Amino acid sequence: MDKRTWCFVAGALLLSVALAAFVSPFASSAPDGLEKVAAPATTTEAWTHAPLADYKAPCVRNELLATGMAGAAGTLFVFACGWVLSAALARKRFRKRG
Amino acid sequence: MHIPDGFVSGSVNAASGAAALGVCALALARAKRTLGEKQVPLLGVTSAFVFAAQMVNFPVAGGTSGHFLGALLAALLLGPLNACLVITVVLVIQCLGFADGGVTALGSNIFNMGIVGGLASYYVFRLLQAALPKTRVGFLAAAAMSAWLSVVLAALCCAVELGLSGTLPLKAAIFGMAGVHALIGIGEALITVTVASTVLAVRPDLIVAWQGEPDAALRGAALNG
Repeated sequence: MDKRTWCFVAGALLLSVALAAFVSPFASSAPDGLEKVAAPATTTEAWTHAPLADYKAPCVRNELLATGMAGAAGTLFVFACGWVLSAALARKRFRKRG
Repeated sequence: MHIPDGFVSGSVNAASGAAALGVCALALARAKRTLGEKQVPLLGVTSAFVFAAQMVNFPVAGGTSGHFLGALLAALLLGPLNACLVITVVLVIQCLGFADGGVTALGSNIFNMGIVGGLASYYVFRLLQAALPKTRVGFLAAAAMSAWLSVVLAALCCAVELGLSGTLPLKAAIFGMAGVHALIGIGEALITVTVASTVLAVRPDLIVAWQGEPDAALRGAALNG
């Protein structure tokens, strides 16, 4: 793969991590469209093992910091999962061709 | 628009989840055959951007917030089926890792945001693209309109699911969801156009919807090599 593509991917990833780490802590905390419309309905949580529930790193007192850390970690994890998935899908074909 | 647990009935979630699973299986099979070398890291970074951007809720009218969906943007960059994979990866991680969107609503969430917001809206984009001038402005205008529509359509599907599940009266759900998301869709259109025009300026070759279908390029590569 050419260097320019790697630079693009690295730049876009950096921007995404920065967005999650430094901008998302200041995002609006108002209820979203669905929460507003379905306000009378009640949630019954089925999955209570989420390690970073509500986008907050555990044991971090500062709310802004907790959200920024959870966001940055999540962004990197999503990147890794997306890459591993697509690399696994494409691998067989590239090997055959190469 | 992430539906939490307890909002959709088991049968609604199972039905929409089955449809989503079918499309994802198709997407996986197709990606296996057509995913280009450059698209491998691009799929990762698009997922990362969608995840990060979805965290940034912006205020809309009346004490409500909304956030970027990114399904149509992913479809523009990677193609409609790959966009379903991107949204599925993001939704599964948000659900299991961040308690955003219920496990018992995962099928419906993937259906609404991935299949309707990404795949179906991409074909609306294609129709608009065919009708509009084949220029950058025409491309971005088609992207803006279909991005807006992707959010409204996904919200309408969500409303129908809530109505069928008996969580809300169907009519109230449809009008409520469509109304709010018509506004949120404006944000979606703005972000989609901003990102698409930026990528168009620096790396137009990375936008599948600008370049044409990925397998056409691949067929060309296979013929040449």
